[in-house]
Amino acid sequence: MGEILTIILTSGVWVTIGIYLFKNPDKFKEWASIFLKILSYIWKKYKYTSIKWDIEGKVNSFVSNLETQTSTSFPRVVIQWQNKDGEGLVWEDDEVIIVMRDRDHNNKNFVHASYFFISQTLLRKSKIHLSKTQKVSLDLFATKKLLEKENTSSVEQFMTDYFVPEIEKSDAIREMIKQCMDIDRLGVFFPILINELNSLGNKVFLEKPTNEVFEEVKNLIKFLVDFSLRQVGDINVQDTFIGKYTRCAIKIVASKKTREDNNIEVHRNRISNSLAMKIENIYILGSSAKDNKDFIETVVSTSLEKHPHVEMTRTCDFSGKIKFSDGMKPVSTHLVCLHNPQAVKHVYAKEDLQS
Amino acid sequence: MDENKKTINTVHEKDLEALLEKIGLKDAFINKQINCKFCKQIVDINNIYSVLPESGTFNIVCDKPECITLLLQHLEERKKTKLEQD
Repeated sequence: MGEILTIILTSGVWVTIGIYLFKNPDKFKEWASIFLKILSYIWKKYKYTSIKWDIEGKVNSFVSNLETQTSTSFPRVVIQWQNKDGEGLVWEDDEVIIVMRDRDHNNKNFVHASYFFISQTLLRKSKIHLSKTQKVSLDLFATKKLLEKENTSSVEQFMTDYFVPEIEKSDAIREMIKQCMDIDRLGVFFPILINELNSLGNKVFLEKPTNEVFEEVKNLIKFLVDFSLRQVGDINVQDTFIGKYTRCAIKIVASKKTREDNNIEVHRNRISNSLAMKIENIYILGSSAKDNKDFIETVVSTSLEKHPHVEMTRTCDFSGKIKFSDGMKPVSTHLVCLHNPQAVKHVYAKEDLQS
Repeated sequence: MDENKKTINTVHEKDLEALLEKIGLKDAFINKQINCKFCKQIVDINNIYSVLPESGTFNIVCDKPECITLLLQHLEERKKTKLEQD
């Protein structure tokens, strides 16, 4: 009964208002214009906010996910409108102001913002000591990954406008992107390659290094490619990279037999041997099935007890593909990153480069 | 500056002319007298990618992918040069 009364009263109010406005068209226009002004104010703000939040939300989501896989923290993007509604214009030299289009051009906006952010910010430290070809290849590949993850409808535009033309222009870029894809197939493009490049980016060369650094990066990538393409059970593939500027090792833990024998000692010794060789980062990879994960955790914890200066910087699960005798198969992999600060050299003087 | 944040400056195409007016480029832009910094082609509202403040002046870059790539490389070179000069 009460509900019916409410409905009748509410309808009555609206009918009364409607009749009043019908009889007083000027008042109607007055009220309507106030209402529309509020709507258009909200709408104007909405057009800025929707573009801003769309880009920030997706890019920062990608960055957050990336951080779970590496032991590096990355900055988040903030879209700052210039001259919005005629308000303040602030500029600094070399601080580009990118033109954004209406929401009808969402994909274009997203491609432009993403490529710019990846190139100028996300991979900036990783690329410090890279050649031009290596830089362009990394930018293209990382941007493609971001778009595939966060905004698949914009991938085609990026491929058509940037990716394919650059590959067509340069065999070197084509080759490096192919290598990035091989590494990424295993799932370790970001967890290992970018991590190592970031470590390299933290190093300072008092004398400008020669092309040696570019060559070392090439060799590091080749090492990761060879490892990515190894067949399960192949113990002959090199699992340790020792360069002049960067040293890392990948340890697979563990085979079924080793687990069943609970042979922790073997794996702990492998880690100890790597540390003795002044390896900076050790990446422990293995199946993320519970029994294997538990085994990995035991190997790691006992290694850390034995080497208390070593840090466990990251642990995560990710998807990848590995090679079996009958082809590539998807797997879920567990990764633990160990960092050996005692092996890290930050400053390279002339004599270090000559040794 | 918060090192955990990277600001990307943007201008909505509807505010572009007002921005260009503030930096003294509006008339030239409307009259199609502005060339892309890299490819030298005429830049207008349909193909503009960015405004680049540089050494006291403003350069305009079109949205051709090769010009955008050149811009990104140019910015890296500028940063390197600045570090060497400091």
